[in-house]
This record gives sequence, structure tokens and C-alpha cells, in this order.
Amino acid sequence: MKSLYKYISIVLISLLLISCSTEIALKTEFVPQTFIYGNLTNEASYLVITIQESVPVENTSNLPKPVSNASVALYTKNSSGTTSLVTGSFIEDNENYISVPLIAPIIGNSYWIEVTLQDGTVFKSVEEKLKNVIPIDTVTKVDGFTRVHFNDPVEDRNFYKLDVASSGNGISSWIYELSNDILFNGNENAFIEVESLLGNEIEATLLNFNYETYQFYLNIVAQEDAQSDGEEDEGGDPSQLFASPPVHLTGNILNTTTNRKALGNFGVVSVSRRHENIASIFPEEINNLIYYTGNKLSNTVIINTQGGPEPKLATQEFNEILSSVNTISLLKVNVHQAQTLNPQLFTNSEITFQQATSYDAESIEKLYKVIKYFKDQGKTVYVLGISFGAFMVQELIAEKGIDLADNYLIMVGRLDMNDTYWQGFSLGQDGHFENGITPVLVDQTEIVKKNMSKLAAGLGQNRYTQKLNQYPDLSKITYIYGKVDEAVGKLTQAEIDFLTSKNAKVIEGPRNHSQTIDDYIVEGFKEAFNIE
Amino acid sequence: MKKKQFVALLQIKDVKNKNRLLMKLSLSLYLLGCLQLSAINSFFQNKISLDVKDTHLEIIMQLIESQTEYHFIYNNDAIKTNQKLDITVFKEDLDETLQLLFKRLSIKYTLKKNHIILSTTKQNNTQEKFTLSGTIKDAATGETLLGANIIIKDKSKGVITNEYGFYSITLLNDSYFLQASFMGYETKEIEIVLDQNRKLNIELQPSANELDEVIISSESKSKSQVQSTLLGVVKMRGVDIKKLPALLGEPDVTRAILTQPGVSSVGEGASGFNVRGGNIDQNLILLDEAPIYNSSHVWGFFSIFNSDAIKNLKLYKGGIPARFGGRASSVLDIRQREGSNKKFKGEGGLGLLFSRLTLEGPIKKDKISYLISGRRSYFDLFFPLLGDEVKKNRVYFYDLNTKLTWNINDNNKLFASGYFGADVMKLNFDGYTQEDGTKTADEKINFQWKNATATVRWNHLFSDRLFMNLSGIYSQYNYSLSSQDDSGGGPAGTSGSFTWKSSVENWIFKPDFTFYQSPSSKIRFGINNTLYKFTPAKISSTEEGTNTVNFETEKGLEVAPYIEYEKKEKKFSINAGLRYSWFGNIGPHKVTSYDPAFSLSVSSILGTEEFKKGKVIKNYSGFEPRLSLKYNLNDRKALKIGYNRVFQYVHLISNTAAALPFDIWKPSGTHIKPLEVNQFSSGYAYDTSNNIYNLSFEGYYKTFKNMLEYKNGADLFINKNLETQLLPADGYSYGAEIGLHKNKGKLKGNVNYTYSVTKRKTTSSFINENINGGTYYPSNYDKPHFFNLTANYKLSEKWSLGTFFTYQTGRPTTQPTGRIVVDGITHLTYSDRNAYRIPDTHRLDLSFNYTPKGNPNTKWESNWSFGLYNAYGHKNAFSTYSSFNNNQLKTFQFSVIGSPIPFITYNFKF
Repeated sequence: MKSLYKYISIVLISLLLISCSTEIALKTEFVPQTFIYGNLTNEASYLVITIQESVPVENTSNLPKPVSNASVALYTKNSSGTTSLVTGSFIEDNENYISVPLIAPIIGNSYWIEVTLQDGTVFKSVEEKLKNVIPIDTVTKVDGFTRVHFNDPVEDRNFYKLDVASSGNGISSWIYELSNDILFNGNENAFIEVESLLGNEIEATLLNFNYETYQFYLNIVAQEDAQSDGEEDEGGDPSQLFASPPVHLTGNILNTTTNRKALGNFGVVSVSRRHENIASIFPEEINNLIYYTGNKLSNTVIINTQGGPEPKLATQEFNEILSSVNTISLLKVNVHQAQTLNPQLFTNSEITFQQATSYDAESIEKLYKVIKYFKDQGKTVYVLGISFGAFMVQELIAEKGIDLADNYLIMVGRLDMNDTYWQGFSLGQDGHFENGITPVLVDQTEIVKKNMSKLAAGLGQNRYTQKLNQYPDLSKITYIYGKVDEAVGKLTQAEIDFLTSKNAKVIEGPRNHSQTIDDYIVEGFKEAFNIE
Repeated sequence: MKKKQFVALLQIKDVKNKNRLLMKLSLSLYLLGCLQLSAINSFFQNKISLDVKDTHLEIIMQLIESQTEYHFIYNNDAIKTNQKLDITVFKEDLDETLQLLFKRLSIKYTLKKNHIILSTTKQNNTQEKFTLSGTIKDAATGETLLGANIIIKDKSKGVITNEYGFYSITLLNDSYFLQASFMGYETKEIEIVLDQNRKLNIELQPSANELDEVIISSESKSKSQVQSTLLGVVKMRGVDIKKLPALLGEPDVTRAILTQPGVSSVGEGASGFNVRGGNIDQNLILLDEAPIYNSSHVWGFFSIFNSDAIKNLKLYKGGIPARFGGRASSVLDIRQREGSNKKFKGEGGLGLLFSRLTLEGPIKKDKISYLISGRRSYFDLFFPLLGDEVKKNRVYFYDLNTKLTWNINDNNKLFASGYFGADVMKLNFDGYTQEDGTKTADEKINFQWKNATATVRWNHLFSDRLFMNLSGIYSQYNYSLSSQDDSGGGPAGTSGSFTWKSSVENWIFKPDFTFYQSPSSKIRFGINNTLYKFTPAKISSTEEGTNTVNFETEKGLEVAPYIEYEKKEKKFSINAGLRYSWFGNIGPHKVTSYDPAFSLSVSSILGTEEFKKGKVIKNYSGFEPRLSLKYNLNDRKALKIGYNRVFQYVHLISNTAAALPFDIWKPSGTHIKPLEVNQFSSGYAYDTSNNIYNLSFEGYYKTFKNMLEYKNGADLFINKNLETQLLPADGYSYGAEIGLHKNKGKLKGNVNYTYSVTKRKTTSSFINENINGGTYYPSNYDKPHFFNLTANYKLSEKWSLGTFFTYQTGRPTTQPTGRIVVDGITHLTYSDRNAYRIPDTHRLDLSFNYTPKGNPNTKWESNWSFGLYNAYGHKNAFSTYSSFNNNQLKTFQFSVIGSPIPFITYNFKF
């Protein structure tokens, strides 16, 4: 019966996808057109202008048809409005006209070319200004994409082309992407991304275009997109329904004889380049324990041990928490806990409280291993623990020493958890604090939730006012709590007194668990890590 | 002929009323019979010679009677026959003679058969006038009937009910025979004595079956264009739409309209329709008066209107009356049913795509009724069976029509109706493992588009002759796209969510009045007020390095008072109207200013000007005259001529072959002028005797000013300075449409052929950015030859066959002409825009309907419909495209539907 329904639904879906493409003969008249193309960049070089004539579509040669005996001239206008000829001497090499002098353009000046064909037809490009160079800050690899980060200037409309060439393992390839700045105008951490290519050696080139040249490249992309659909396909290509009219490869070149746009473009482009190896540089045993974002070469590492406990390593929440703080140039790491590495151990059957305690100890060892790795690399390591993560950090310090990392930010945790509360949790119950003071426990049935409660109790059973008393100074710790925290309760006066007596910074927020996180993350980073 | 008169006499004798006027009428009718008998032997000639001086009118009339086969019929009280006159004519036509004779006497004459009927043109003081008004309804459901005929027998006077089933006619104090008729209903005759203003609500019985309809509705001329003064008006009922063969068996409003002459579309699967050379955004699509912004489900394949909830629709493509405006090429006026106020009923259907259910009934009998009608596609319910990959996805669409009608009393009625429909796509993509062994994040995509409308209307009668409808309308179209990454962990990976929202909203307040001046004339007036709110794009992202983008909302106000005068005489009819429309952009808004020496472009921006809240930024206004004239050559032949001007202040920004659900709407403003369309049309309508065939022939010429076109390679996606991508364009279209309907017999249907030309040119003052160098080129949907055939054949009591065939010229396209090489990669050069055409298209659809005889003891009725769409499987081209791969150019034809598609639907009623 099931297979019958399956059959029916396949039929129904295929009915909607019944389109097809078939090859047909093209009847068209050939009209020869002149195409002029070149780019002038801020990097001193010989200017190459390509002048060619279109050939009939039936022509299968991939060689351009040169236009000979044309004359080319490059003009400039400086910021005070004075126009001058840069050079009129170009050497003809097939379809290319190469400038005799080396051209070193000046940022802020405008440039254009004039091309006169043998028959007297004159082409002129629209004046374009050489814009400022936008340096590439860093290149990262994120979720199947290679991202190039830069600081987008707020005062200017920017139009970018990003070229990414990658090589490694004997393969080299390149890809590009066009983008205007609508989605990141003025953003210090702006990025453009391309699909990741094979190879970890990345050569990124960021071109800062004028609008007309950007439009020309958009036209090229539109044509390439249309070309890529060109296979005969049984299923057809429904995107043809929403195809735009074919795009002429026109840019800023004008035929001044006819006053119509001509094919081609002369771009005045500022270029910045960056070479980077984006291979993961961490050993596999560390790589398997972490999720990270940001600049992996950074000398400062923020290491988080996540809250919950949850059977899944947080990535989005992790990024969201960090998004309110400027950490783009830093390496940010979230470390696996026992239950995120092997969630199936917690989802299928109920664990004992004793097991929970030993899983917590396992999690501490993993966290220790990652922190130690980065410290051994000579990096500055800041440790962040929020909620359950707060207990993790306390246990870490108690077991592995206060000098393991450089500074610690602990948010919405407790030193000495209320006894009835953790005992309830150790039996798999859930609960909350009314007004941040009175504990209330409730039963729960879901196995995974019961197990998570037990993991929480595994650390909640400890008295950290005693376990941390071994250290005379806890000034590396910044501790933030909420006055009406419903999840862990507010700190008691005894806990606060303990922390202040050991020189830890204590900050009180007026609101609940999650509000305290949102309200104080920025201040916490400033106080604990001196990061704004 | 004589037998009929005899029957009429007998009927009158039966009548108990002893009113003097009635007696007189019967007498004159009797007289008429006698005269007719005596006329049989008289000498037949119609040329008259008279030379009399100072002679009684009575004598002159006798002389005329003696020289022709005509006889005078008149009322002795009204026509003074003892006055003395001179008249001299020699072998003159009867008509000329009568004109000469009566023009001085304020006597009106009408020739009918071989009678000359006399009446006074002066207001007769001895006789008062009274108004007869009321509503015509379906006797079974209480549903009002729109466009039903009320004919005053033997007076050749008549009116039709308005959009709310209301009619009003003012006549002399007299007794009359009324005939109320409507297609698909039994005609009802009612005698009424009009000695005071009267309310008469008439209920018509639906005809028991189609065969009855053939006999009884002989007076109804629903497909005839002879009666309507307006040119190019197409009427359809919900049941007509259901008779057409349909894609996947789903009756579809848009596809039904596409069977009509002068209506085309880019191709199969394209959203919307084009009327006489207008873009798809030039159609005012009204559902219970609420404008609809996107009329398609499934990217354009199905219309959003549920035919079960539709009472009828009217498409105005030629003569657009002054009460409509705001869209330049056509009005599609769709009215929802009100629901039965007599008894609870239901109907529904199971198809391959949708399942439908409609429930209706009284909340309070005869007073309050409701209708609720919904559809949902359900193939996604089978997704879990298709395996894990498909299981997590949801793709569906649904719509819901609701209506509540409250007959408060004879003078007040209240309607509340609403529509809500959405397309939802929730897709889940699992992350995949990359070459380096890491896994990418899972991704969730949620894409939806929705239409929602709400209409509240109040019908009020100020008097028997002044009808008011007050409407308050809200209409919204919005779409949203959100995506969310959810990394499964691993050394590298990120996550982020992204949402994009856009909407257009309307608030409309619209009082409309109709004054029934006389039986043959009425005046409509009112004012349409529309507040528009456009939200072009709201984009937010949680990802670092990405900004939140919030394009400013744009507000516009359109105010349009109008007056419309309609008069229908025996020979001449007129519908003349004047509309004045004013449109303004309202602040707060920032307007970009550009250097006038350069074309609009990001590089010519000078700055922005900021306007405060409530400030009018830019306004446009203009008079829109509308005129339709009709001259009846006789009862069955009419000539028509018309002129329209319409301004349009909102524009759909779309540069793709078929419009996308996320194309945005943009108001006129500082950089975009309103579209102006002028249309001249003329036509000829002919009905064969007994109205078996209706023939119509229409021609039109239209000009378009300030259309929007798009620059080469226009970048319309999330563009803050959209105007920099646009070009103004002017255009024209002309065409001829011939349509033939067959209304009776076992075979019914229509054939139509259209020849049309639609061209445009861009008119930028910066001539180098014009498309095709500023010369005229055909529009995307320019299809010169267009032939449609629709037929229904009744095979037996239980079986019927429906067919639809269409043949269309291929639409224009742009083709490659040569090649160039850029950075080592081959690119193509193209011909001028739309210089070539794709192959012609043709298609045949078939449907069989089987209606078993229901069990007479239950209310349950059902029928089966099955058939084939694209019956002979022709691969119709939607587009052609070329690509250059492996040093070779290949050209392809893309067909949306390349094979026959069978369908089966089960419909039921209870």
C-alpha cells in the first residue's frame, strides 16, 4: 500500500515538472560588431586594450578576430580638472594594443580612452575615477565558503569584484563574485564569499569598481549564467520561465560616431591582494574537539564551554552571543563536552547520577586539553562560561589551576548551588527559582532532558567556595549574576563575599538569566578581556 | 404571430384587476388584433404621398394607414388627434413622413413590426411616475443575481440588476407585465400595478437542466454583445469556468480569461495575462472590490481564485466605465457568492492538485448567510513516503474565501468578505561533507507569498431611485524569504539566519452612488480613495559583517472622483463618464536627486532630499474621459464606438519573461511618471434570429505613454536606486477581434480570432541608453495571430465533452548573432531586442464530464471529470535560448509542458 502512495506522489510531482528542452536549429543574421576591452589598475603596468570584431556564431574557433590599424589614446583628468594625454603610443599585437610606457595611475584622478578605427569610427570610454584601495583584512573558510573580509567605507557606494584563485595538491582554480555594498555599507567586518575551491593556498584579489564597470561585469555574469544552462535536458530548465532578456556586453564605451553604446568596457579599478593559507592548522585531536570561527592565526583565543547542558554543540547561538562584541580579528572556539561529542549515549537510555559525574569530568579534561594546546602555542587565552558553562569553568579552575588561562568570564552561575535543587536535578528533575531565591522542582519524562539535568547536578553538587579557597587570588575572574535569575538563582551574600575577598570582579544585573546574558555580555568582555 | 397575440388577449381577460388603464390597454390590443386582420388585404407599399391643409391629425393618420401596411397604436388620452395640421409629401419614406408630421407635436413614434406606436414626449401632467425597485435572487439559495434582466413587456424597456442584484425603474402610473430573466434560470412574468412607489423582490428558479434552459432562456442574451453599450466586455459565471478543460482538472479563472479574444500571455506557466497589448500590471483585478496584486499560485501555474466561491466575473478590456480606474488596460471584476440564506449546502471536489470544500447556509434564515470556501494542495502530504530527502520538505498552497451577508431590511444590506491565500515552501537541506572531510551546516529555507483582502460593504437605499454602496477595503500582498544555517559542528563552519520581507498594502474607502433617473438612464457617481503603502525590502541577518537593510517604505494617496451617465434607448445608447484622478507621494521619505546632465545612475547622484511626515512629495493628476456609444441598426445588430483614457500610478517592476512572486511594486513619483493609456475602439455585434449565434467584431487602437522598460542588464534585486535601472517607454497596440458564440443546442461554444500588434520604444533623453537605439520593437507578448476554440458537446444525459484548442504566433525573442572572446572565454553578441520569434504554439485540451443520476432521496449530487491537457502532446516553446559550450553554439527550445497531462476530478454537492 505504501508503495502505491509513493508511486502516486511521484507521478504528481513529475506532472508539475513535465517541462523539457530540445535542441533546435538557429536561424539568425550575422552582424559584425566591434568590442573594446581593458582595465587600468592602480598597480603600475603596461596598459592592454583589446580590440576585436565579432565572428559568426557558426565559427568554432576560440580565437578572437583582431581589428588592426586602430589608434588608441589614454587621457587623464586630475583633481583640479586639468585634462592631459597620458599616452597615445600603443603597440599592436594581434587583438591587443599594449602601451609603450609603463602606466602608473594616481588615485583620485580620472582616466578614459579614445579608440579610432581605420574607417574613422571613434569610440570613447566614459571617464572613471581611480578609487581608493580597499585592503583585505583576512581570509577565512566558513561552511563551504571562502570569505574575504574588509572594511567597507561608509561614505562611498562601492562596487566590488572578488577574484579568488586557489592552489594546493597540484590543483589550481579560480572563481569570482560581484557584489555591491547594500548588505554591508560601512560595515567594518564586511565580507564577500565564494564557494570554496580545492586547495588551501588562497590568492584573493579585491577590485574596487566604478559603477559602469561593475554593470559591465554584471552583464558578463548574466551571460555566463545563461550559458551554463546550455545542456539538453530531459527535465528542462524551469528557470527559463524567469529568464531576463539576453544581455549585451555593453559597458562604458560609446561609439561617438553613431552615439550608441558599443560593446566592451574600459575599467579604472583599484586593486588589493592578499595571499593566505586557509588550511586548518590545528592537529586533528584538537580539531575534533572544537568548533571555531574567525582568524585562526590570531594571538588571542576566546574559548567557550557552552551552557545547557545540551546534546549538541552550539554554533549559531555561539556566534550570536559573540556578534555583539567586536571579535572579528580573533579566534573564537567552542569546545565539545561529553554529551555533544556522543549525543547517542544520552538520548537512548537514562544514565545514573554517578555516570553523569564522570561524564562531567570527561568534559573538563577535553576543555583542559584545548586550552593547554593554545597556551602552549604562546597565545593569550580567555575562557568564557555561561550558565552550565559557568560551572564548567569553576570546576576547571578548581581542578587545573587558576593560571591555566589568562582571564575568565563567568556568567549566570553559582558557587554553591542550593542543595534541594541539585538533588532534584540528580534524580532527573527540572526546576526554577522564584524571584531568584525560592527553588521549585518539577518532574520530567523525556530521557534526554533527565540526563541533561543529571549532568547539571554532576557539577552543581560541588561547593566552590571550598574548592576554590585553595587560591589566594581570583582576580583573573569576572563574575556576572542576575538578581532574579530563575535558572540558577541569584548569588547569596556569602558567595559574593567569597569572590570579593579573593579580588574577583562581581557584577550584579537586575534581570533574569537570559536577559543578564544579553545585557552584560559587552560589559563582561570589556571587564574580563578588555575587548570592546 | 396571431396566435401569440391571441394568447396575450386571453391572459389579459383573465386578469381580475379592473383598472381603467388596463382596460384601455386591452382594448387597444384588441383593436390592434382587428386592425391586423383587416390589414391583410391592404395594398403593401411604404411610399407615401400626402397633400393636405388644415386637416385633423386623425384623418392624416388614416391616410397613412391606407397607403402602407402600418397601423397606428396610441392612447386617446395622451395623443390629441383632433388638432389640425398641414403636410405635403410626395412618394416619401414612412419614416421621413412621420418625422415631418410629429416633430412639431411633441409626439414620439416607434415603429414595431407593422405598428406605429405613438406616445408623448412631453411630461404628462395627468399621469404621475412611480418607481419600481428591488432585488432579484436565486429562489433556491437566496443568492443575488447580477446582471439579470427586467423587461417591461410591450414597452421595449428594460433594466438590468447591478453588482448587488438591485434594480430600479421609474414608469408612468400604469399596470405592467414584467419579465424577469437570467441565464440558467426560468423566466418569470409578473403583473404589477404601479400606482405608487413599489418594492418588488423577485426570486427566480434555477432551470432544472440544460435542456430547459434552451427553451426558456430564449430571451436571455448572455453572450450577445448587442445589448451592452460598452465595447469589449466579457462576462463569465463560475459554472462557465468549470466547464472548460483545465490543467490537472482545476478550474482556473486566468485560463478561462485566456480563451477570450484580445487576451494573451507570454506563455504556459507565466503569471497573469495581457489585455490588448497591456503589461500584466495593467489589469485591475478585483475580488469583491479588493485589488489583488499577485493572482497566481505555484509561480504562475494556477490562479488564486477558487471557482467554487465565484459568482461571476466581468472583464472590461475595451470600454472601461468611469467608476473603475488606476490600472490602464483592463478591469477584471470578480464577485464572490454570498452563500444560501435558505438552507445549508456544501460542495467540493477532489482533484490531483487540490481538494476543495465550500460550505454555505443561513445563520438566520432569509436574513444572514455565510459562505466559506477553501482549497489546499496536498501532494506534499505524500512527501514522507518519498524517503528521507524529501520528507523534511513542505511545499503547499492554500486559499480561503469567506463571506457574510446580512439583509438588514429592504433598504440596508451589509456584506463582509475576505480572502486569504498563500504559497509556502519550507525546504530543508542537509549539510554535505566537503573534500577536506568537514561537514557544512544544514540549511533551512522558508519562502512564502501571501495575498490577503478584507472588504466591508454597506448597500443603502436613500430612496427607490438612489442606491448607495459604501466600501471599506484592505488588501495586502507580501512575501518573505528566510534561511537559517544550523551547523552540525566540526572544525569549521558558521551559522546565521537571514530574512527578507517585502509587501504592498492598500486601504480603500469608496462611496458609490447610482441614481436611477429614468427607466433608460442612470447616473453613477462617487469617489475612490486609496492609500498605498509599499515596503520594498526589509533584510535582517544575524551574521557578523552583514548589515540590516531596511529600505524606506513609500506611501501614496490616490483620490479619484467620477461621474458616469448611462442611457439606453431603442436606437442610441451612451455610457459617458469623467474621472479625475490625483496621486501624490506622501512623506516621510528621502528622494535621491541626480545630476540632470547625466542619465540616472549611481554615479550621477547629487544627494538626497528629505521630506517630513505627511508632506506631499510629488503629485500627478488628470482627467480621464470615458465614452461608449452604441447604435442599434435593429434588434439584433449594433454598431459601437468608444474612447477611454486611464492613468496608472503603480507599477510592477519585472524584467523576466514570467513575473516572479518577489517582483516589487513601485508607485509613480519624482523619477517615475504615471502611465497614460488612450484607447479608441469600435465594434459591430450581430445576433442571429432566436439568438443561436452571437457574432462580434471589434477593433482597437491604443497608445501607451510612460511605460517602464529596463536598461540592458538591469539589476533589480534589492536595489535602493531602482530608478537608475529603468527607462521610460512609449508604445502602441492595435488589433481586430472576431468572436462567434453558439448558445443553444447540444453543441455550444465559441471561436475567436485576434490579429494584433503591440510595440514599444524607450524614450530616454540620453539616447545611447535606449533599447534598440530608440526604435520600436515588439513587446514580449506580441502574438499577431491568435485563434481559440472552445466547445461543449452534450453526448447524452450523463456525458458531455469539452474541448479547447488554441493556435498562437510564437512570441518575440532575442537571438545571438555573433561571438567575441573576453579573457579567453567566448561570449555572444545578440540581435536587437525581440527581433526574432520562437516557433508558433498550439494545444488541444479535452475533458469528459460524467454526471450520474443521483439518488432522488438524498441531496448528494456528484460528477466526474477527466481528460487530457495538451492532448496530442505538442512541445510548445516557451522560449528559445542559446549557449556556447565546447566551441559550439547550441540553441534550445524550452517547453513548460512537453507531453499530454491526464487529469481526473471528482466533484460533489449536498
